[in-house]
Amino acid sequence: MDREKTVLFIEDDPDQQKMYSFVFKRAGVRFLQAQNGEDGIKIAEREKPDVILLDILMNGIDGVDTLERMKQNPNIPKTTAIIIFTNYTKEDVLKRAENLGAIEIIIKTDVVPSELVDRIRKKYLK
Amino acid sequence: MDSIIRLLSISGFAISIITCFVGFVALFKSKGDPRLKFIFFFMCLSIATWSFFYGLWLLADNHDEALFLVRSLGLGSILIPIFHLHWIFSFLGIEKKYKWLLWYGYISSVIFLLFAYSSLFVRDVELTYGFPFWPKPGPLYHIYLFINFIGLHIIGFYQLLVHLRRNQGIKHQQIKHVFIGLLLGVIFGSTNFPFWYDINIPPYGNPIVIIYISMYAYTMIRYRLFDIHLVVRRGTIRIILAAFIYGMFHLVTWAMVRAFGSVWVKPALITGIFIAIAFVLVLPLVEKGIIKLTNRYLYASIYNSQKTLRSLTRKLTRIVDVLKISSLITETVHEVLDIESVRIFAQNSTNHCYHLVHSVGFESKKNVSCDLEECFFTRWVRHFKKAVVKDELQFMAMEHRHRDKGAEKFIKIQKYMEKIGGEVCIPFVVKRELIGFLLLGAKISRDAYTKEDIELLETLGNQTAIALENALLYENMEQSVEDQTKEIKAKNVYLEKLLAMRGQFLDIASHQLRTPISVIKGYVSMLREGDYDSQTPAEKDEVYRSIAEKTEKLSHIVRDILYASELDTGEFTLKEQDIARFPIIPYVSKIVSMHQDEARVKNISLTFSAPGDALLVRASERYMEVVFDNLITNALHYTPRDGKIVVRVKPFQDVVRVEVEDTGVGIPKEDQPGLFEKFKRGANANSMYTDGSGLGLFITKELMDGHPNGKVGFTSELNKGTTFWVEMERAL
Repeated sequence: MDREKTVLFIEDDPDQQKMYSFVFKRAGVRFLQAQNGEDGIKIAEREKPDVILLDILMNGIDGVDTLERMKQNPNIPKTTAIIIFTNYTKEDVLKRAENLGAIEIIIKTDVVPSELVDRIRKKYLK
Repeated sequence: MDSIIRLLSISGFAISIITCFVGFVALFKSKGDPRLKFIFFFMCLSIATWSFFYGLWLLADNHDEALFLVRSLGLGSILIPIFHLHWIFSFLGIEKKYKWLLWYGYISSVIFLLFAYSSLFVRDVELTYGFPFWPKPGPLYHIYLFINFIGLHIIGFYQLLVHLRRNQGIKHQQIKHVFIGLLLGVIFGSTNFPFWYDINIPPYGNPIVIIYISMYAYTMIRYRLFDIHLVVRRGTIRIILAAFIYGMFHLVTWAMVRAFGSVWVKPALITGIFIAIAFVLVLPLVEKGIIKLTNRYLYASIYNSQKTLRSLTRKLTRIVDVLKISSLITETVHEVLDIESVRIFAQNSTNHCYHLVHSVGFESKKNVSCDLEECFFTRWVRHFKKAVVKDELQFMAMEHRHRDKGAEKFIKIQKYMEKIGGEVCIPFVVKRELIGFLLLGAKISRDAYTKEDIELLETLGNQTAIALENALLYENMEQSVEDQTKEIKAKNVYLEKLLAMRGQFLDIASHQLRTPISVIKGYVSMLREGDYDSQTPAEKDEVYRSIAEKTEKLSHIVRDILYASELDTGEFTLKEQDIARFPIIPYVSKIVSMHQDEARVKNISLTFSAPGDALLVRASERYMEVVFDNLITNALHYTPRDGKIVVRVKPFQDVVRVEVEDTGVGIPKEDQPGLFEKFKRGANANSMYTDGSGLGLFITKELMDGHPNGKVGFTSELNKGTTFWVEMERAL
């Protein structure tokens, strides 16, 4: 049988961690969490998730730098769908993320949690 | 013999007329010391009286008439020596010193006058070497001749010579000309004396006395012996013209008599017609020539420079550059008037001094400063407005000698001009403001400045003042445009910076606003979708708590933004009704306890310490809450897990200080200045807390500044911690 679909959520706000964890877990997705970019990279190397949801403004290295490192990291498969999931809308930063290979950019306030889960499942977890 | 007598007679009348003219001009048409003018006038009158009767006497045809006229002639000649001496002494300013001599002169002269018509003075008239009625001296005449005429004149000449050496400039020139003229007058006038004593030296020198009087006229015009008006020039031309016509008439008559025997014979009459026509044709040319000659010798400078001045004036109106105007004027004046040195100064409005703009011929002079301070000299020049001639200041001092401090002032100014090496100063006065001046050195010829020079320079000064004023205005305008451009550029840079900071703020602010909204929106949608219907009450509570917390955060952010924009106008001051007396310790304690939950999450020890006494402050409760909330929240944000935060209340004499000390990341040295500016954050701030807007400290600072005796400050060390403190007015 297929390996359980896995989502890695990198975010430093505990409230959001809690909220998104609830919806993803209920949808039957394996939901991994990291508080910052560095932890995120380690988990990604080890667990090789299908989807990574990456915030931008975080303590320590920010989301875009994390993305860059992940893309250069040989232990993280190129097929991993890395999605920028943020409320930070500065255009040049988002542009940079796109160029670095973010597969999609989702603004948090634009979606409610159930929509997010549906979208991710349909697009990246088939 | 007859013609010689007639010629001498004419010379007598001519001397008389010219002397009267000179005397009257000096008296009525000149400025200056009235005393000097009167003495000069009486001197001229005595000469005129003598020469008038001299002319008449020579024409006398009988003994009695001749004796009467020669005694009348004495009325003048008796007074000539004493008036000469008096004039010389007053001219040299030594009247008082030789008072006794003058007394002697006047008393003796009066005695002579009393006996003028007696044989004690003039014994008789006799035929002498061809002159039918030459006078012979009485006993008093010997005294008059040897003591008064010869003695007093020798004293006078001696004094003139002594003072000639002592004086320089215009005074030197005046003394020189007076001396030469007087010497000529006396020597040639004296040719009348030998016949009295039957010595055969004929009186042919008498006509040359005209030169003596003319010398006065020349000195008056050229060397400002008396400060006379230009009317003299026209008068001079007329007199010379009249003399020419008179001479021509006699020349033609003499020539005709020689050629034809009489003027009434036919060939003489016919020749006369041609001569008349030729005369009419020639006369205007002669007049022109006379004007040219007088201009050349009496008004040399005006003659040479009028044309130059006209073209200079035309040029001046077209230039708007101070430097160009200045160099044009200095070079032109230097060249036209043959002056050793010319300098032009312009006012420097910023530091009240006169800046040397251009200078010619001053290279060799040392000890001449480039700029002149605003001082008594410049103030006086501004007030005086006219040309200041160094040599004339002495006369002005003499005129003002009776007034209190009047003379001293002129001497002081004269000394100052000496110091700065200026013979003449031409002020440029516009609207009572001295915008600059021209400073001229001595003439290369060592001649004094003439009246015409000064008038010319004054005209030039007026033109220059206007040109300079225009140029300065233009320059100021250019300067102000430049200043404004600079200001606009600086403003632009500032605005650009502000705009960049604002952009940064907006990015952060939108993130700050979106984050709680996304959580609230998410939870609310989940609640509505029934996701939590089957969850435990504790789990539901957790969701509600999150929503409440995020809502609270949202309202804080909105509050901060509103405060920041309100405070941004820079006119924030607390109103009296905002300020209240309240106990500070329980107030801070409550705010601290409100943050305990947050501290617990990061395992930070947040403690409060205060003295036991009740402390009252005068502050705004509403705003101080914002301040303390900001400081404590900041400390929580930038202190790592397991850290320590202490909030302390410290009373002072007039103020109460509240400190918030943390063991946080600290603020880098380079970020400390300007930390209270809007949007400013430490470089290491994002590593601890990403949602800082850079508004909190700006708001804190502005609010504290609005408080009575309100202050805010901090000390910080990188990676060790930061202490922020605020002070409020202590209430009793």
